[in-house]
Amino acid sequence: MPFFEVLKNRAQSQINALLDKNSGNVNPAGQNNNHIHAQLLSGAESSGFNNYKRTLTKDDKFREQFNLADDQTLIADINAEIGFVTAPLPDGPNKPSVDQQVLYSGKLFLSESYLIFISANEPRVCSFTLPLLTIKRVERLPSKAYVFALSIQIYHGLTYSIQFIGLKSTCDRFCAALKNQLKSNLPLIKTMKPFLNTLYSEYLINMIELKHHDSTSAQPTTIETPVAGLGQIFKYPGDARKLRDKSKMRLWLEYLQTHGRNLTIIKQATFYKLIRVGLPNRLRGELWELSSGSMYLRLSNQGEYDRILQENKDKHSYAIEEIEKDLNRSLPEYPAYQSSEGIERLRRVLTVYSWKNPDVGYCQAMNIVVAALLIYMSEEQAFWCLNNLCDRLLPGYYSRTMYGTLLDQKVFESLVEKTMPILWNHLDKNDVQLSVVSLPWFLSIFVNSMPLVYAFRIVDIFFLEGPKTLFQVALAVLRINGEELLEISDDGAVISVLKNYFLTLDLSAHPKSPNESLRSITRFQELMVVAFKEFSGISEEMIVELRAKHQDKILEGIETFAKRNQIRSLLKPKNFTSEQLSIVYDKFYEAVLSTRELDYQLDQKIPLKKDTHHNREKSDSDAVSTTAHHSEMDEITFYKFLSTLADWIDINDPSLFEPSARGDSDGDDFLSRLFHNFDTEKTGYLSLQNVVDGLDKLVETDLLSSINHFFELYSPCVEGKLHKVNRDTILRMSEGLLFLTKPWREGEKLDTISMEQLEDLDQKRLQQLSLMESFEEQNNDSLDNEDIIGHDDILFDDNDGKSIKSVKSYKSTKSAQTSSSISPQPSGSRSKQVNSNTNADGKPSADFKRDEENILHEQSARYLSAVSSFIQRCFEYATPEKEEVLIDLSDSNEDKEQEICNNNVALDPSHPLSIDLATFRMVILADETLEMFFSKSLPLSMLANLNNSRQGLLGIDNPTRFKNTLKDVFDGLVTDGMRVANEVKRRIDDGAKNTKGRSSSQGNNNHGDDDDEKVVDEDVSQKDRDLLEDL
Amino acid sequence: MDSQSTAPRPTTSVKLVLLGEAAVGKSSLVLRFVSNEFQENKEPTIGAAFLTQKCSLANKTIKFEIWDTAGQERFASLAPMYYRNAQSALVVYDITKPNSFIKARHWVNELKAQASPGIIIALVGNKLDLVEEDTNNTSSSNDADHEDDETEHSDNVEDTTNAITEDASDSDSDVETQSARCVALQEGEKLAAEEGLLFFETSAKTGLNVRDVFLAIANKIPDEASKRRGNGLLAGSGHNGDSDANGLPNHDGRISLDASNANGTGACAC
Ligand SMILES: Nc1nc2c(ncn2[C@@H]2O[C@H](COP(=O)(O)OP(=O)(O)OP(=O)(O)O)[C@@H](O)[C@H]2O)c(=O)[nH]1
Ligand SMILES: [Mg+2]
Repeated sequence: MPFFEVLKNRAQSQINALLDKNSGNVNPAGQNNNHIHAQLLSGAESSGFNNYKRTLTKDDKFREQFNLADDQTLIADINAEIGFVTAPLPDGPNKPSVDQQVLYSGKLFLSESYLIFISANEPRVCSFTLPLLTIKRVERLPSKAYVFALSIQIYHGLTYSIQFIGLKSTCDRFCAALKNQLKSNLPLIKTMKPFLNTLYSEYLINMIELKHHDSTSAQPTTIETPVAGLGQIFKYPGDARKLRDKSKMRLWLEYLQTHGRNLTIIKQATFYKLIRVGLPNRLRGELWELSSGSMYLRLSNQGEYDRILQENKDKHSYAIEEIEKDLNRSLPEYPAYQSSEGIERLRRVLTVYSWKNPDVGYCQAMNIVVAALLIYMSEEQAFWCLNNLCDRLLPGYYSRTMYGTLLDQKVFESLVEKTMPILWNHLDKNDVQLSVVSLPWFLSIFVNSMPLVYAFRIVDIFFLEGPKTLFQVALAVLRINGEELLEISDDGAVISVLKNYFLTLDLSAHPKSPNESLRSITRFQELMVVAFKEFSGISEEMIVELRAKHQDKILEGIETFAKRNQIRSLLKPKNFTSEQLSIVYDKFYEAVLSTRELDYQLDQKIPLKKDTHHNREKSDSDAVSTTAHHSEMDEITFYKFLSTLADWIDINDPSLFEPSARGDSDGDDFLSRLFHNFDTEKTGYLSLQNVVDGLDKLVETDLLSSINHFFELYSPCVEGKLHKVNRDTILRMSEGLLFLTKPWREGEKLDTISMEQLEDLDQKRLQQLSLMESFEEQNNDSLDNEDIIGHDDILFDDNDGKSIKSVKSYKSTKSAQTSSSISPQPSGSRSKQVNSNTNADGKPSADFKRDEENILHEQSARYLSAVSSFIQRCFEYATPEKEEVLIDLSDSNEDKEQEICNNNVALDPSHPLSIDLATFRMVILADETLEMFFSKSLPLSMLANLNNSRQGLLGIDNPTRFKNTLKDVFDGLVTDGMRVANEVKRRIDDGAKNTKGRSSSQGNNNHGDDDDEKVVDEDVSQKDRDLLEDL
Repeated sequence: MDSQSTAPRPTTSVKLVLLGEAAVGKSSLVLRFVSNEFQENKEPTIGAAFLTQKCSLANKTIKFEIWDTAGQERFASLAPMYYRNAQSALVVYDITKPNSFIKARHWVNELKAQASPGIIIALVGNKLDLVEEDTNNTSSSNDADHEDDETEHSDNVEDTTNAITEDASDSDSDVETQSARCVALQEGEKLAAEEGLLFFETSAKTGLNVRDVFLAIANKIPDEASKRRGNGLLAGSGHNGDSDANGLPNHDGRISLDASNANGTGACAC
């Protein structure tokens, strides 16, 4: 319990922290997120998880009640009375068969493959789950008392009579449905025979019948012995005589002969009693799979085990590696597991399961459970039994997060608290964590916790009664040892006491009693009585209810733990705080999950085919492909993820997210380079570490590193050295720049230069306002005054999106604003002003509006010109170098280049050229806008988005809102861009020349003087424009 | 170090937790320490196992309450349950399994971040017997393998990490137990030095150095801790890092093994 408290508190404080940050704004998504992640982490077992949460459909409940596979639905049900006539016992005295007159009333259900009966009120009186393919013949019986009566004959001769109770129409409908299903099961009948050959009960009875026949006819027939568990070769654990194995066997034989065997067995009170006293060795495996329902799974999936085994024969996986470590460490004291025969079987079952369910893969404790199963079961039986365990009986126990284990420990603790409050308080007071003690019991169904013979007795009941058995036994262990435990004050001692108890289960429970029969009761017998009598109140529903109750807390705890761990194990990035990392983590998993969710939905849409085999094959391979990367993202997911952080990705751009449309947008090339750059191991998927490392480079504000990184995207890096890039790649780079700078070109974002200009403008406006104020004060025009104040309130309210600043308080926040204009926060949101100004009709506002528009125009122009002069300069400073081109160009690129060159005189193919990193740097540094873009605008905008996304409203709602309003303002501007670009470019180039004083002698002999250059510049940029339009 | 001294020495209970990748030999180390046995095929630990062992020092007796945890990755979320309130920890790796060393690094980080402050951590590279063939010059033969090692005296952490990762991917391909050493003695030493850990290379199979690990920890437990455990007393003990305070091997695990292996049993009143 304290462990969970810790987790809970941790989760709680996280949520509190979240609330604090939002200054009272509850983020309703926050709490759910935790579950999303936990669900994601727990992988495919989320289906198990859903079982508690989801409101079950009628079919779900039906399947759950009768342990049916997912392909079964409830087709019809009806009240009925059942009677059965047994075949006469072939040997021994012909006992009178079960009285034909005894009728059991209850309910009859029909599904695709089964006819199921369960007696009313007390289900244990009589029930069966009859596969339709075992029915040999159905006849209508003459009956007066009932509307309808059928006689159903089973393949082995047993006959059930069914008398329907209800309206004639209901009976008719049921019978029609039954007829239909029988018909569609006809083709499956041929699969029954090989299946029956794997069952010992079938073999046993056939042998007896054969003996009977042989004594009359002298025709000796042999029947193949079904594959048995390892116990048949290596001896079953325990002393068969002491276990009274023979008498148990006799009793079972009798039962099987009168009540049908294996698939067709009718469960009556004796059936349960016989299981309670312990199963005989030879029938144990079969009865385990029968009572757990895995026999039906095996029946409908015959051959699957071998198929998976063959298909993955020489494959390797991480799970296999883990399995290998434990093969020699599974019940090593049992002789079979010191032999290759035993080890091989164990290896195959565990491995096949890891292929079948890669989300679970392999979990320690599975080796012990399967090793136990294999003593009594064939490989295939054990395999399907394991399936049933993981999916149904021990849901989520062996999952990657082991959430099922943690959950049931919590459930167990709450049951202890409820049933043994004194002990609970004592343990609680002494800070003893019960789960430390009980966890292995649950995880390996008590195998390994107590001597095998006893553990198997519990397993017998567990398969019959389900998960509640584990709780009942665990509670009984505590109850029996309660007094001793009350004297103990640390969890180590609790373990010791109980360990000792388990080792002495064969001793007398009452050694000092004068009563001999009391003395002869063993501790184990006592345990059974306490577990199933005293704790008989522990029901399946109770467990389900408690699971649902505690589930959220557990998932929350797991999520917190996983996140903390994963973030801690990341190689620490340079530019992120742990808080920012935590946001990256959330966004990463949100993206991965949403993709997965999408995949899942697509999967669901695939119509269910009749050919289940084929279907399964498909879903299996899907499962492998998606789950192998269940915590990594593919390219498209990466774009989605990035779009939440990068203003330059338009989430609405279909070309980015639809593979079919890809390839014709500016961003494609850049984004794909980015993805592959992030993907350092070249797996085609990005891990959290990849993404963090990559983003770390993107938000780098060190100018040179930032430039290097951009260059790195385009330059093939060989042996740690960046190569030069050729002409074609230079063009690609300019495309990349165009793509990246889009938000600034389109005025959605403001860079520092524009911010400073706006600051100036604000300053001016402020002065003018105060002038006006004083003027209006003089005039006492209250209406106008209000108007203006009101207007400015709006203006500044949206200004940084957080606090309302009146005109008066503006001055005091001014300094903060100036500093933040360098930092990214207010960038972009400024533009809102333009909008509010448009609505205002004050004279000065209109003027300012024009000024603001001008600033935005200028910024847009600056960026366009920056990109065009980038190309120009690259070509200017590029060195002609033949070999580089040969190295860098693949055939297809050459074609492309050819094409481009034909259209562009500037790109004379006879002069191949390339630039290296140094030149590239120089080119970027030559342009103030680009320099600033790399050192500030780009990295800071991303960091800002990261920080903003903590506050849901700011990060998500606002930008889109003002983006749309801004669209109108800039529509004209953008189409006009080129003209403006040329204009401004000239100006800026002049300016740049003055300030930077770049020597024109460096590598260009074209330009004699300034006048000439201007002409050339215009010329080149004209060509560049063509180029840009072409691309 | 007389085990049967007449004066009753104060007994200090010390909670010790073992962490490390699956099958590195955590349970085997405990078994060797507690009952001086070795089992070739030790079952994996499910959840955790608990054992106690007393250890007599000159002036006190230490009673180790040992929590031996499950090593598989997915059991990691249970680990906080076990290292809660622990005063000491063994972080174990297998010197023939590079991945296990990476895991060890993670465990050290986790303990430093989440366990009680001042927890005494010993880094243990186990299965030394598997590389015992080249006993006499483990370190020199190692230098031959990693030529960089000698020159690399600066703490260039990145390089080491890279080297390990590469090794890891290499060994992934061949599953079968490879008896070659994959984690250099120096790598363990370096991590221990960086993080202020005790460091040993051991063999649970031969018993080599096993006792020394526990003794070293016992010696670092401050006396005051005997009054009450787990209430932060350890945080103040300035012992961290100076592990040879008790003349115990920190520099080179091999030195100690000669000294203490022969009569190592005398130190513990088991
Ligand atoms: N050669 C050799 N084998 C060892 C040594 N220590 C342990 N082993 C073997 O390694 C295997 C795993 O040992 P365990 O002690 O069970 O490992 P563990 O760390 O407790 O494993 P988990 O409980 O799964 O976490 C067993 O087969 C041991 O016999 C050692 O020093 N030398
Ligand atoms: Mg272990």
